[in-house]
Amino acid sequence: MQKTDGNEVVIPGAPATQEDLTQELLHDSLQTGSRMRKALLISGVLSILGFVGLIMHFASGSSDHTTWNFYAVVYFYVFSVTMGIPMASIGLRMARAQWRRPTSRSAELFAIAGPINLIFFIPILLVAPPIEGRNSLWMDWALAPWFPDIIMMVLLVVTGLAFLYVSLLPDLASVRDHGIGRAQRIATILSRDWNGTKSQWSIHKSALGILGAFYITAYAMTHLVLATDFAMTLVPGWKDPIFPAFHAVTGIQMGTALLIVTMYLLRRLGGFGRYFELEQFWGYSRLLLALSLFYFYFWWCAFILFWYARLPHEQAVVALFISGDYADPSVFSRPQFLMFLGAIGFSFFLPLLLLMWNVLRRSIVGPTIVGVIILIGGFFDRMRLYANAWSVDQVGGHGLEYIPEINAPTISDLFVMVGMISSILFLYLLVSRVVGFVSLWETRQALLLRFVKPWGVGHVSVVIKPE
Amino acid sequence: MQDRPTLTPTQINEELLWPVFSFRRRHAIAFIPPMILLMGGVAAVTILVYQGLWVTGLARPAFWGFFIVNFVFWIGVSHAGTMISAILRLTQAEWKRPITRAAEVMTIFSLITSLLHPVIHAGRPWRIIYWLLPYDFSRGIWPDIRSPLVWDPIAITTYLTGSVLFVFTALIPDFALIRDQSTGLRKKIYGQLALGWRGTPRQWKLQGIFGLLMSALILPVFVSVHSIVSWDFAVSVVPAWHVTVYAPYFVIGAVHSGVSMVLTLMALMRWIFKLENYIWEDHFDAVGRLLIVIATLWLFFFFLDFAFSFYTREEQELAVMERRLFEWPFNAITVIMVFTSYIIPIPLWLSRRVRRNIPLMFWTSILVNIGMWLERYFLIIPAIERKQELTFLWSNYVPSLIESLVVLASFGMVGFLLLLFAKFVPLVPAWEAKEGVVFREDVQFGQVVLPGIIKETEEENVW
Repeated sequence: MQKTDGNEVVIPGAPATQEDLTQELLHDSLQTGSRMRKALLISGVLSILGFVGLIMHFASGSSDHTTWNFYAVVYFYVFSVTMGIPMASIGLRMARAQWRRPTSRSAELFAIAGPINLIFFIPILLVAPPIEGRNSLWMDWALAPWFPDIIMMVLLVVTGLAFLYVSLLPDLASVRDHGIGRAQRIATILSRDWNGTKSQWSIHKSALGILGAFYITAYAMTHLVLATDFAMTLVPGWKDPIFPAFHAVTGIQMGTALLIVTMYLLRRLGGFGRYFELEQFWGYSRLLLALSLFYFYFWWCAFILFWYARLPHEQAVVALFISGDYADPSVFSRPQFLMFLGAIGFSFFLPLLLLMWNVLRRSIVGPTIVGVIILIGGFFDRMRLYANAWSVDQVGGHGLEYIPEINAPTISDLFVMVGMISSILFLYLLVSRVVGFVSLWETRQALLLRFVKPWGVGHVSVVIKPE
Repeated sequence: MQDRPTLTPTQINEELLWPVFSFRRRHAIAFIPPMILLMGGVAAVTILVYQGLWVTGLARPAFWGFFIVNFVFWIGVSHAGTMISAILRLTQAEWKRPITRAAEVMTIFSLITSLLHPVIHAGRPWRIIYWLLPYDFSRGIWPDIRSPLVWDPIAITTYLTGSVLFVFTALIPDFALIRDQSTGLRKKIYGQLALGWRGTPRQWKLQGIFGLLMSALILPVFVSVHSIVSWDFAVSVVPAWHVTVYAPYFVIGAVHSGVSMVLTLMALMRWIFKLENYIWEDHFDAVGRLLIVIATLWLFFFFLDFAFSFYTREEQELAVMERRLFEWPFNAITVIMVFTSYIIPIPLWLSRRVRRNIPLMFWTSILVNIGMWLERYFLIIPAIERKQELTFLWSNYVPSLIESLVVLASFGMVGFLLLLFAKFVPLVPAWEAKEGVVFREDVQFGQVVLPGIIKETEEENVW
């Protein structure tokens, strides 16, 4: 029987002792250097652009929702990506994947984007057309769909923040007890009476499990209502029950992609190389491959039915989201078709072609490149869905009667996009100054639950499974 | 944490190979119930072939009944093998070891059983050949390859072929083991089946690579099979069938019923073959946790299908939903289905104590499969047995005794084939059991001993 005091090597290249780990994650990484200050300053300033863009949009009118089509694209893209990242971490946490431990903080920290998503959701509610005369899930309930949509959004954001807070607690206590300066003062307030007693750890574990399950449920239900109320109902004849699931899965796909890119940047620029190692990139690249396959599968399940049945109202939906208007003889001059090519090419074909190779999947650069590709593909996909759906001005009817022209994006859309992304980045970096990018307690636990031992002429890892 | 017995290779050989080298009473008794069911089914099919389809309850407009429901159900169950083996193999889940073989073999037998149903459903089984092949060259009549009814046999036979290869490759080390412990004709037969296996490092490496490759290749086939089965319904324009979510909904339902069936099988194997040293409470716990996720996903897709039935408020679709929810017997079926598939088992499985209680897990897994069978009935029958625009003669579908006997016989057939298989090959792979012992490392952690798993260390990053 092997005995361990938890001091053997854990993460390849990671500090060998618990003390080193504490020093590095609690002190060194919480220092705010000049590069961090610049990043905070730039992102803070650029955040203002989002609100400028909003004002410009409202100034140009809010009565015609078709002029807000690219606002919807930007909003649902940023929402999908940022709220999808915690899903990747929570799912792996529930599956008890040990390798994700060093990455969970950088993923779950994206829950901080929730309030920004909530603020920028308000214009969507204000400008989206009423549901009278349209298909709807809500059966003429009073205040529907706006009220249930707000409830779901708030629930998702609050659950995400609660999950983040609970996962931060042990580290906040560590900063309180061993940290310095402003971070320590904030951590003292936030860590409350956490002392790491056995009962506190037990409650902590249960709370993470329950909040994680809540987050997953809220995530699925929010995507269900938002995808239906702000995309599907806008297009007469579009009935696609798989679409909310597609919307949710692509959100997780884009979230995982952004997490990989974030890990790469933190590794390169933040000096976190020993925490974001090959094992983490490899693990997430497998998840990314699976999610890319899901992208295609869910899309195909809808497409084949619409294509096969040849029902006129479904053919119109295919034209709107995939092929473009058949009246245009050249498919390559149809914007809908180009958007579709970009979406499926960057979200499925290229990731599949790259990640199917072991040498690329099991590397650091390979998954990062694919991550960037998927983030581009995801934007094309949201553009394909929302720019088209929000361009439809026909109300009611059994099916779409004509393929509408798409309003081009304006400078205010660009401002909103830059502003939203910057404000999320600003908050992300700001919170990281107190709690860091790597979870100290999770990494310390990982250190205890894994060690290397000699095996024949080489070495093997022993992963301890406490349950 | 349950005490995990430390097993020697000799003990593993003895405990796993006894059904092959002897025929004990418990094994013989286990054959009786499935054989009775099977004989009932054979009699029913004989009557059906002799007298024709009028002995069934099929009548205008419901020409798809119990046989098709049962076909879909068994295709679903067949998904367990791939789910357990391929996915758990790719994710390197250690706990899969003792249950892979039974799950994979169940895939094959379920597929064979399901394939029989369209043949029986044809009424004149020998005429099925006309449906499968081009037969009338002079008149230029060909099967319509655009029909999902042609995609079906292609997908299922591909899956069957892949599954047989998958199982056979994993069987080779055990064939060699039986060969080495046998004499005479048995040695010759198993020698042929073992394909010259000597357990060299190269052979183990090739076997491992093949297993991983097959896992990766068979996964798309596994998803496609039940998707295509769902498209038998969904590509039509029948209200309540023409739904985009049908494919993933069918697949996840299939996995739900298949993995539950594996749970049933695990308990039965443990009792019949005395496999307590191999199938632990930990395994029931792990499968139970997996099922909570699967069942919840199933519920989500069920909800999507259900909620969107009301989305467009089309008269015909609402009529089907009204039938499903308010008309006898579908209202009862709906309630029983939801309760047995989710509301009863899942809250129970949330408790660790229940997940480690084998009799409870056995009975709840059976409940799930009752629910999942009824779900197929709920999806298929109400949509077709009703008056539509151009239907001028209609009646309710009432399944006959003949059909019920065939359904029961299908369970008997799968059980019989599994028991027969266990007479020739161990249902728990002996080599996996031995590998599991080697890759296990108990670690003293303070005052407790925790189980550990040995894994390869990561190579140096070259990028």
